Amino acid sequence: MASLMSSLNAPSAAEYAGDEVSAIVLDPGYSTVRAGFAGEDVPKSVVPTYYGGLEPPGGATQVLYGENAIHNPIPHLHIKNPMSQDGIVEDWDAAWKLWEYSLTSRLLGAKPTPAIRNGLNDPVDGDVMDVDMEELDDLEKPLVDNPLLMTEPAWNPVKWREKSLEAAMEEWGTPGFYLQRSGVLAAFSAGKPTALVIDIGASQLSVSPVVDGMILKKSVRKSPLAGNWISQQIRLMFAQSQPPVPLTPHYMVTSKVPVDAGAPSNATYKKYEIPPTDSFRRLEEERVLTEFKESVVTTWYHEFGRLSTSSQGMTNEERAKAAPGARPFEMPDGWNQIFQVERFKVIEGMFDHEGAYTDAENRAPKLEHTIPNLIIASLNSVDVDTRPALLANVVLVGGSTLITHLHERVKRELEAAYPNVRVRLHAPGNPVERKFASWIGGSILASLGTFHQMWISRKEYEEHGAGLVEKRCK
Amino acid sequence: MASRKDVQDIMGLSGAAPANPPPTLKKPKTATGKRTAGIAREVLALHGDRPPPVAVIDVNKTYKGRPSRAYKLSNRWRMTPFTNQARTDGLVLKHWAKIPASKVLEDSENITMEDVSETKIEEQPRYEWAKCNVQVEIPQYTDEEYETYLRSDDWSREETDYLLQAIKEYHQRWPVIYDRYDFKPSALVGSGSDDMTLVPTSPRKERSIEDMKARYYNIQAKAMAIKTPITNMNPAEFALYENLTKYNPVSEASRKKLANNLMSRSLDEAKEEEFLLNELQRIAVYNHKFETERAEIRARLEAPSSTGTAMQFQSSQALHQLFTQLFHADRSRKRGSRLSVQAGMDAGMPTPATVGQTPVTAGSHRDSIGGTSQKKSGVPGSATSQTAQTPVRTISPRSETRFGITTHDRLTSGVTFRTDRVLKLRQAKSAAQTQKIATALAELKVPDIIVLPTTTVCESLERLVGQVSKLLDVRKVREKEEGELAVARARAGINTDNTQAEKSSTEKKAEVEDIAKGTDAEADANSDGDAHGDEDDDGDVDGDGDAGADVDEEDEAEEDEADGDAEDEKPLKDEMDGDVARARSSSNLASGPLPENSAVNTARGGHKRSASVLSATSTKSSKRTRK
Ligand SMILES: Nc1ncnc2c1ncn2[C@@H]1O[C@H](COP(=O)(O)OP(=O)(O)OP(=O)(O)O)[C@@H](O)[C@H]1O
Ligand SMILES: [Mg+2]
Repeated sequence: MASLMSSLNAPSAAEYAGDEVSAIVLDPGYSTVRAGFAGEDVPKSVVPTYYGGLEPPGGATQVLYGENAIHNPIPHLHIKNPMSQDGIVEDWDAAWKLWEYSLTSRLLGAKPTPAIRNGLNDPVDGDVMDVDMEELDDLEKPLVDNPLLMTEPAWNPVKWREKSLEAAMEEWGTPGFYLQRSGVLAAFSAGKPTALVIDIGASQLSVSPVVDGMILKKSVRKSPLAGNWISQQIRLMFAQSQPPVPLTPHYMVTSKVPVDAGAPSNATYKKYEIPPTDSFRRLEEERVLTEFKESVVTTWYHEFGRLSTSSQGMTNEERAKAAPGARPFEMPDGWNQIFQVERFKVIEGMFDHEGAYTDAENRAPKLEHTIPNLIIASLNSVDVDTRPALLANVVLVGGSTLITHLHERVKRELEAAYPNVRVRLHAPGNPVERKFASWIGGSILASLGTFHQMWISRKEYEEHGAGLVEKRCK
Repeated sequence: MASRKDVQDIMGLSGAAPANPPPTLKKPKTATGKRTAGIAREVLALHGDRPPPVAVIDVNKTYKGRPSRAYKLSNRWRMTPFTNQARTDGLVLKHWAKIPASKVLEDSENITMEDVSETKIEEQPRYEWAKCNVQVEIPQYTDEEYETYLRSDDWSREETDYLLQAIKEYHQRWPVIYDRYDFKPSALVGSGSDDMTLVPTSPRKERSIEDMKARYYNIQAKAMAIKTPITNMNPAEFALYENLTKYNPVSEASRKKLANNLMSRSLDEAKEEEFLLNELQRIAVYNHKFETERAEIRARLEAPSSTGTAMQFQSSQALHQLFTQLFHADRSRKRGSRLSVQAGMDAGMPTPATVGQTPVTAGSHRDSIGGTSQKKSGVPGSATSQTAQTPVRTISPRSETRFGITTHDRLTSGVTFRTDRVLKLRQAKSAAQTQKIATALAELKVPDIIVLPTTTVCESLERLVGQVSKLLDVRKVREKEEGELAVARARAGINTDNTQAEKSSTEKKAEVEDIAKGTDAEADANSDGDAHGDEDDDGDVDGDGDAGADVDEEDEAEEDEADGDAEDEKPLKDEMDGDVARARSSSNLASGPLPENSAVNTARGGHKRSASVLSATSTKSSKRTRK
């Protein structure tokens, strides 16, 4: 009885082969950067990847990081994102600074100033101390005590991989470094060494087959149909509604009065002398859209097939109109409406490229970019013998998979595509585990005793250079 | 605190409570040995002498024990640096490690962290997880070995090395190796210019998993053979060697292709396959059932028939044979010996002499007064009447009937009434069959109670019932066959020639009608006979004979047809013909013993199944007769 697991006594090391060396796991994404200590179950530090550049005309520019800083409607605040729409780094320096912020802001306490610098021990003879200065510099680097495990998308270019190793060693002074593909880590977070990982994040939707903890690079398939694309679909839906749905972010509203559904809003708007920038507005709109995604958007997963098809003398769209669970949505300015078919249609394009909202600028997605086609394409490039194992271990992760019933739909599509194979879908019920799957996998990996032989050590880096990352982190 | 006594007091039961509870009641408590803990004694007492309604769990301690605190130095945890033997670079990481209490005491003279780290690393035990660092062994070979044994036209030395390296690196995980395999000949890459002369510049090839596996297994097998000659290998090694050499990339590739096809089947195809498999199973089960049924029937056919005609047993030789045959069959079946050896010796083996000595008289008749009758003469009357060489008093069949002389194969002891027999005749094995026979008889206007059941009437009725049941059997078989036919036709679907099937079915219908007519006629004749009693016996026989002759001709033609149709050529048609032949011949059967026999024989030639069915019916009827 006494040996029962509890939060008070840690499991013995032999039970989970764990050995924590206070490693840090950093999982940068397009929408958020996740960082925390290996061995913990959630990242302690989650920082938006969007950062603010305060660029007053004629004044000194200033960079603002973190949730608390970037949502203030102050003039000349430009919201930027260091990542590209491909989910990889675009602006390296900005990204690195942001990641450093994510580590230092919450995880690593302020370091005591070395005795030599605190002004009490002023050197009598400068020459003697010169040699020590460099070592002291090293000690001041943020990660001197912590090995660093970073995640990366499977399509991360070599230059960024090498740069990560280099910067982690040079700028952060980490004793050990490792880069792991987020797909592999997501599989680990589900406790599976072999899995077909479907990750729907903000910028990219990716399908990665993982076999025995190794990603099959040639079989990874990705498409841009992810969170940002869904947001765009919602915008299109708003614009194409009759009358168009006004998208007003919170910062513009001072007060509002309840109005009837569909009626024009009756609110007092804030006046700004210098209105916030467009990029700021877009970020704030994105927040409203995420709220909309969370509360309204639903995936159509009816047994009669896709939304565009019809069966038994009734189109599925008619069925969708009658489907229960229609949710009202109220904009920050009080405008409200019930969304019935629209809530299904904004997401349908992910599965059925013809079901997407389009306009002149936003073309319909390509057929091969839809989830079912990505999965099929990925599986077809895998050896036949491994396919059943992959299909029996489909892992669904990423923030955008939290859309209601999305996993049911994915399952249905998979079963339709592979009627003879047992398909088992693993989609954690806990939203945290889905959003932070690759971080959690990294946390597991970096706290394993057997993993510590994998780190690229400082010594090795100094010996072989940044090119080592290609050899070691496969 | 109310005890049981108090409660009883309150309830006014005080008088009932004995001062000393009976010792028997105490037993359960003492049997358990200890007082049930965890419950106040008073509460327990409320249960009275009966055991508590719910299981009372024995808990050793009522209260949580006092935490046993060891008042000694606790273990300390300290951030300790360590090295990992699985690494070659001596990376020092730090983790929390337990410092034994003794050590803590020793170290309590406060040594600074740095000092500890310096000294501790040296005396570190082996890192716990270093043991998991297992590497794959790949075959090693020298240049010379490569040139002599491992050379391949398809694989350059460089690529072979690359492959082996990849296998080692990815721990023989073929999907991963295949995924990462990216061999660039150095000549093409341009690096290592001195290799140019050694390595033939081969264009980059797409290697399939099978290619790689074949190459690797080949190398491994050869390396094994080089290391230990095949003759010196132990069984395990040899088995591995066998496996390695047996690898066939071509068949493996085709297997994968098949697997791929299997996976990419559509739902419909999968469903269809499942359906077909089910169907196949159903058919197999059905066939099995059918076979066992037929086997049963055939087994019955092989049993020597005791009815049949007596014609073949005209000579005593034949009779003797028949008896020994019966006797052996009987003995081999090992039932209660119906024919005892003694009986066989005494009565069953009539030598010509005995036949001569035993005059067949009216005494053999059951009803006769003669007490000396031989119960088991086994000599049919006709045999005696027509055996010219036996110097016995012959009685013409006519006078035999006139005098009411009958002969019996076997007689049961005791007295029976013919009315009983007549009643018994109407009883079939199953109620349904009985019912059917009753309706048939009613249709033929055979009265329920036959007023005067003379021998002839009885016989006629027996024959009639036999025929009716035969016909019923035939009908049953026909229905079954028709069902089969319908199934077969449905299965054959478009392939089958519809017109033919239709034609044959109409044909069949006509046949069946014919048969029905024929039987009607016979039945009429029979019932006539019945109605008229013994006087009109002749007419009955005549009628029978006519019917038999009538159908016979047709039958012959039919049989020819059946013969002509090869069994395997047109199974459908054949089946039909068989049916028809069967129906026909059974209608013949009805008409008398002689045609029946011939029908049996000819049908057997034409179609085995019909023959067996026929014989089944005949044996059944014979059984009934025997009863
Ligand atoms: N409950 C929710 N319902 C629907 N969508 C959500 C929900 N929560 C978050 N999202 C969406 O998920 C996306 C963020 O997911 P995630 O954190 O996995 O992305 P990321 O890892 O930062 O991006 P990427 O993987 O593309 O680099 C955002 O687009 C957000 O709008
Ligand atoms: Mg992600």
